[in-house]
Amino acid sequence: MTLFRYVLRNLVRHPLRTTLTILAISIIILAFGLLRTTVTAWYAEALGSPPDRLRTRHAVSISFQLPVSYQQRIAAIPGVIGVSYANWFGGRWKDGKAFFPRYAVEPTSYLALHPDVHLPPLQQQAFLQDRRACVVGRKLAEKLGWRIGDVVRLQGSLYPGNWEFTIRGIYTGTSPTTDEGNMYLHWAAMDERRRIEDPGRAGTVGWFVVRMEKPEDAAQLSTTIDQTFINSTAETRTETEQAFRANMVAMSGAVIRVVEIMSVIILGISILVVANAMAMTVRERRHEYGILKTLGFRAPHFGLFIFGESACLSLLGGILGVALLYPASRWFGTLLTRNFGGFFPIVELPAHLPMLAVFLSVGLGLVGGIIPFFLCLRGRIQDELRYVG
Amino acid sequence: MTSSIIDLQKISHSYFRDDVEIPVLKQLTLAIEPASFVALLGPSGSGKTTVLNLMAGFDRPTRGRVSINQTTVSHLSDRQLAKWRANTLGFIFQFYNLIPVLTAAENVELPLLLTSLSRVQRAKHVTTALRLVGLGDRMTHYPRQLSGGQEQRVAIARAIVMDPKILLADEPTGNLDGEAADEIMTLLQRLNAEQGKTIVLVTHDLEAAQRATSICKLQKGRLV
Ligand SMILES: Nc1ncnc2c1ncn2[C@@H]1O[C@H](COP(=O)(O)OP(=O)(O)OP(=O)(O)O)[C@@H](O)[C@H]1O
Ligand SMILES: [Mg+2]
Repeated sequence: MTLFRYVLRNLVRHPLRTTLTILAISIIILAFGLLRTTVTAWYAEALGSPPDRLRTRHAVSISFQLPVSYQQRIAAIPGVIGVSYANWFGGRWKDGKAFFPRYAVEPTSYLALHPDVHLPPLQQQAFLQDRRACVVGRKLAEKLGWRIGDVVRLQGSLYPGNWEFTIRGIYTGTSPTTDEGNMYLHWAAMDERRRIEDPGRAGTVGWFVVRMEKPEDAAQLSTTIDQTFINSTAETRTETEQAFRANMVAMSGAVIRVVEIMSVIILGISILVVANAMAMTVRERRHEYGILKTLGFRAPHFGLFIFGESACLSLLGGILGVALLYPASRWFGTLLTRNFGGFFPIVELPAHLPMLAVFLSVGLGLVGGIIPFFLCLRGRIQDELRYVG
Repeated sequence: MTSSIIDLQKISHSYFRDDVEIPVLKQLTLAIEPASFVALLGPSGSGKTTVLNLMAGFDRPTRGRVSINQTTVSHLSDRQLAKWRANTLGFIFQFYNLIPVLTAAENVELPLLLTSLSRVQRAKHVTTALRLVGLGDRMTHYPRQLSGGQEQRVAIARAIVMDPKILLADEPTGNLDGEAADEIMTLLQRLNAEQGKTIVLVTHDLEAAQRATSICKLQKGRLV
């Protein structure tokens, strides 16, 4: 017999109440986990670029294009050590349900500027040599069951017609924030066809990616680039990649803030659930606590009993919630990707989240025990002994 | 210093409800000798439980002094009080309130968990106490598997397992029928006679009070 054994036995005193409390907490932890998964996926997309790159786009809007000839002019600006460019390709794959971002890029410079997009040398060579080729991210390939050599057929939207690309490489991300859910194809292949079918839009790009020599020059360099094109047909706007992406998803940014706040509020609810259950418990055991006090038990012991029980309750709820989180996040991720793939290309349970949720549940349980603990301490022996509940 | 083990000196005690003073004990003086068995007899509401609470240090008298075993109770801090109480006093109540999720032995072991005794030593003390109350064969029973009388005997075992000099019992037979009550009273008599425990028994039951070696009558907060 130990004091902790008493705590554990107390947990099973009201099996129904204990079960319901644990279930309530598990649902809250599950919801918390899903909300955090969403937030993390969004930030990975919005903030997932190293800070040594800038993006230059049309000053008016991302939907306007810039002449590809700007490349040389940007490259000539001191402090710029690399320039590449890309277009949002759009299009539909199959029925359009499985969404993944597709970019038309100038592959040599693009890969040089994105060292975190890693291709085995042979695959890279194969990609560069074949204009009808594409590369896809590891997670995307896994999700859709693609192998090297498979042909991806897209129905064009921004660039009409049927398109076929042979997968020549599967890239992996060398940094945890690298999006392994993209598809890259040759900008030249796209432009070649545009020149025939849509000459007005040929030779234009969606944005330039600019590599800086010194990331701390970002603000100054952005201004210099934009001033270079002032009064030209297409004025530019240059931002760091984070700012660029954050802009792109500015609308969703507000929503994400709400989601973040919700994820915190919901934890407050879990504290209340525990506090409520424990307050009931403490009230019921008033007489018992009085007896224990006559036997010499004092505040530290009641602290152990009450915080021990509330933490255990919450921990069990947390563990159950995390267990549910694994399948639920997979289902939830599919749902998000299908409906909001532009913002959430790949949704995955963040690696640290299960542990965080378990620790949090213990913490929340402890906080939930505070008021019940003081209720217990406040009780005077003579009143508790008189109380027959 | 007197030779008495319990010494109440001119105790007055009032409860306050909404700033209204309700006097309960009036100038009560009582001295109890070591190894005696005193019954405090009085009608309901006469202040018996209040006297016991003051002896135990659950509450401080409005006026007067309580000394137990040469210690002035009101001079102790809450922390000292808890330790002193655990070592000096054993309590038996009308509602035995064993912890339902612990076995008889575990219930008796509770106060020992606050000492530095080893597991083996604790088990020895528990066995001794339960044998003394005649429940050596019920160690692993849960309270719901025991009769009311047996439960009260487990509570007594719990009260004596720390080997206190004094037992304070508040209506210990209040919830029991004649035969079980009789057994409990016999047990208390034995603890007094064989173990030399000083026992203060609070009751409104004359029959129970007559098992004690002396009776003090309390009426409206005064000894009569
Ligand atoms: N916490 C309290 N607040 C106000 N009045 C109280 C309080 N506790 C007891 N009293 C009053 O003090 C008086 C004595 O109470 P006490 O419990 O000591 O009586 P008792 O002799 O033990 O009675 P019983 O035999 O019914 O247990 C009663 O009138 C009671 O109403
Ligand atoms: Mg009473």
